[in-house]
Amino acid sequence: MLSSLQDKDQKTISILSQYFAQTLKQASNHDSKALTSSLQAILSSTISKEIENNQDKMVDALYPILGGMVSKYVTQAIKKLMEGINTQIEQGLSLKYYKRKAKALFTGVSEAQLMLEEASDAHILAMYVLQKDSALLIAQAQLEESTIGDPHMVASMASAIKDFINDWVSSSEESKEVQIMSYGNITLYIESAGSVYLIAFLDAEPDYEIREEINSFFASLVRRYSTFFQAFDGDDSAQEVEDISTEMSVYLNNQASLDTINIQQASSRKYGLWLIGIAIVTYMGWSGYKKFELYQIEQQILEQTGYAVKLKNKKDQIYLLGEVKTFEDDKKIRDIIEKSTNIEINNQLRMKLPDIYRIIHHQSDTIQNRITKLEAQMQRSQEKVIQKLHFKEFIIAKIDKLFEKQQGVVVRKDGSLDFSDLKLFNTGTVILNEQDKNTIKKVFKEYVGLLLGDEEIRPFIKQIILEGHTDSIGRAVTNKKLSLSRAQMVKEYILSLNLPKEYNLEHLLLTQGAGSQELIFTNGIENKEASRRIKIKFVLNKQLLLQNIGKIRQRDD
Amino acid sequence: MIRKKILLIGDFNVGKTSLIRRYVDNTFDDKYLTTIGVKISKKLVEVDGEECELLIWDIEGATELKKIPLAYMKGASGAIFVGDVARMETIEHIDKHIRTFLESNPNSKYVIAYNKADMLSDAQLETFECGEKTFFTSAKENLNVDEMFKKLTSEMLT
Repeated sequence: MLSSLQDKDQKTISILSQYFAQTLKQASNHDSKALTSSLQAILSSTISKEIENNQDKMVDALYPILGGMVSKYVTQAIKKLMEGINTQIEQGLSLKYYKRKAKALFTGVSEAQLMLEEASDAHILAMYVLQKDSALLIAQAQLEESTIGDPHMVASMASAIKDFINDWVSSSEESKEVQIMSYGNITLYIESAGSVYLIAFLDAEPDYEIREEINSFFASLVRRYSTFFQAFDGDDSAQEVEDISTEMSVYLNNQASLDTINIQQASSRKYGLWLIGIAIVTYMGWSGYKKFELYQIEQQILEQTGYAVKLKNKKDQIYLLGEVKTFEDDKKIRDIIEKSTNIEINNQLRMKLPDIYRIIHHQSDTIQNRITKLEAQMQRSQEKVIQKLHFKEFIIAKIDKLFEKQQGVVVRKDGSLDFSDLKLFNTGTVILNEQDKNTIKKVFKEYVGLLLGDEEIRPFIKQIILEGHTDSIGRAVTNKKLSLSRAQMVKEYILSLNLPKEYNLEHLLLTQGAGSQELIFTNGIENKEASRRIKIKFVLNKQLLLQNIGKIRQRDD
Repeated sequence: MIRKKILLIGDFNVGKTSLIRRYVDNTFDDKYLTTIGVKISKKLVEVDGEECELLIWDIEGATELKKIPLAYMKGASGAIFVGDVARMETIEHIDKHIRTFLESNPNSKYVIAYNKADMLSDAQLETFECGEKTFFTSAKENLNVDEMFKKLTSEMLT
């Protein structure tokens, strides 16, 4: 009967309905089971039909109830999950585990709660309520500090993105809706109810607590404004829009204040503990860092020297422990440490006695060898200095030795060669005969060969002088000119000889005329033939000699 | 303030986005068109002293293989159906788009834009069948764009 009533027109239903209450009461007293069964069939059919025809209306009506029920079941499920987490953390062993345990002990918050908190700490920045189909924004509220652009466009775009994802996902998974969208620091949490969406903008992904809070608030809005939501035609001048916006704004500000209070309370309670904790962690960190630094230095020493020494930091000193075989190794190790750190080194490195004796003997031999070498070096230097100090005598001795058997040439005390025995020139003339020329040629070659061919002597020869002489006959001025002419004539002859160019004779050779100032006497009487002659002399570069002596001394020092 | 959701619907490359670019106050980047297939823009229109803010959903052009997502059509108070006068098939498809739209939004209003009108001569344009809801438009020449949006807004507010 009840089933057939569904198909009747409205008027018939109205007339018949008034008799139903009484009939149902009687039926209930008579056979309650049969009545329940009959009503179940008709009610199920009616609800199904209503859902089919007015899905959004039904959802709006049921959401506040179903939303609460869902929340309750979700909460229970989460509690079970938390128990599971608690069991897991009981079994787990990690630094994070102890940290969390300590935090739970100090704050009184369960470890599972803390684990979930670790995953999320989101704050609501703004909330939108928008019509599901048109995506038109019905009401919105946002915290002052949030900077979301044009709310109407953002709401539409968010809805479009949600629809796009829903369309795409629906091909693989049915009855699913996008609830979370994240981009950078912003997360959109979207809750759907009948004809409206609620979008919450958060600064992180919301955890179950925040979602439950938002859903609860949203359910209260839907419960009170469902009719308005369904009838909303885009006109936001309605009083309801203002009311909803105000409610949302109050809710947002309350949430923000609550967050601040929670943070402040937690901060004040935990301040002392955190301070101690930070101090301990800092000390441990610093200590760990120092140990790591020393470990790195130990590794460097091992790589570079092969010694596995141990470093310990104690009282602002690095204690260097271990064993080495040589002092050089000891120094190398200390150098490596000094390059890596400024901390003072307390060297406790050991060395075996036989190694020390071996090193001492080795060092002793080395030192003795070096002393011997130094003595020899000093001896050579002394000789060189003495030689340089008596350089002229040294050269004269060589000249003496070279020409001691040479006929027609006398080596004077100043090292000059005197050709007086050759009787070179007739009175008043500058002409040399061929035989004399040959003698001069031979003697000169040997003379300059000694002075300029010896690398030890050559650098210090400043000049080679050809000095002309006359006898006492004639005026002094005339004799002066004549003697110079004789010297120049000899110079021309010498330069015409094929002597080595490296001697640079053109620059070294000078001519002088001594006139009759240095006559030759034999038994007290002037030997005029002998007086008419030339002499060859050398001049040393004294300045260069002195410099050379200075350098030798510097080397010795 | 009254706000309305309106759609721009038409085949691929008929000039929908150009029409919007000519008209709107504020818009999202064009990249959304190629990513999620829709771009939302905003325009404040005044008709007979009454202001209405249009939230214009520029929907990516339909092709044989790619249909317009029905979710985007829902809740629209109006629509502009756009065709390209130089491509007759796009004009012919408008009827089909209108039918699809009205299935989701039976009480909604619409206008038709025969776009790129600057490409044809007056004589050529006379060959098109036009009603009071039809506008020859050109984003390039700014022809009838304002008028068309105002007409649609007026229809929606009635």
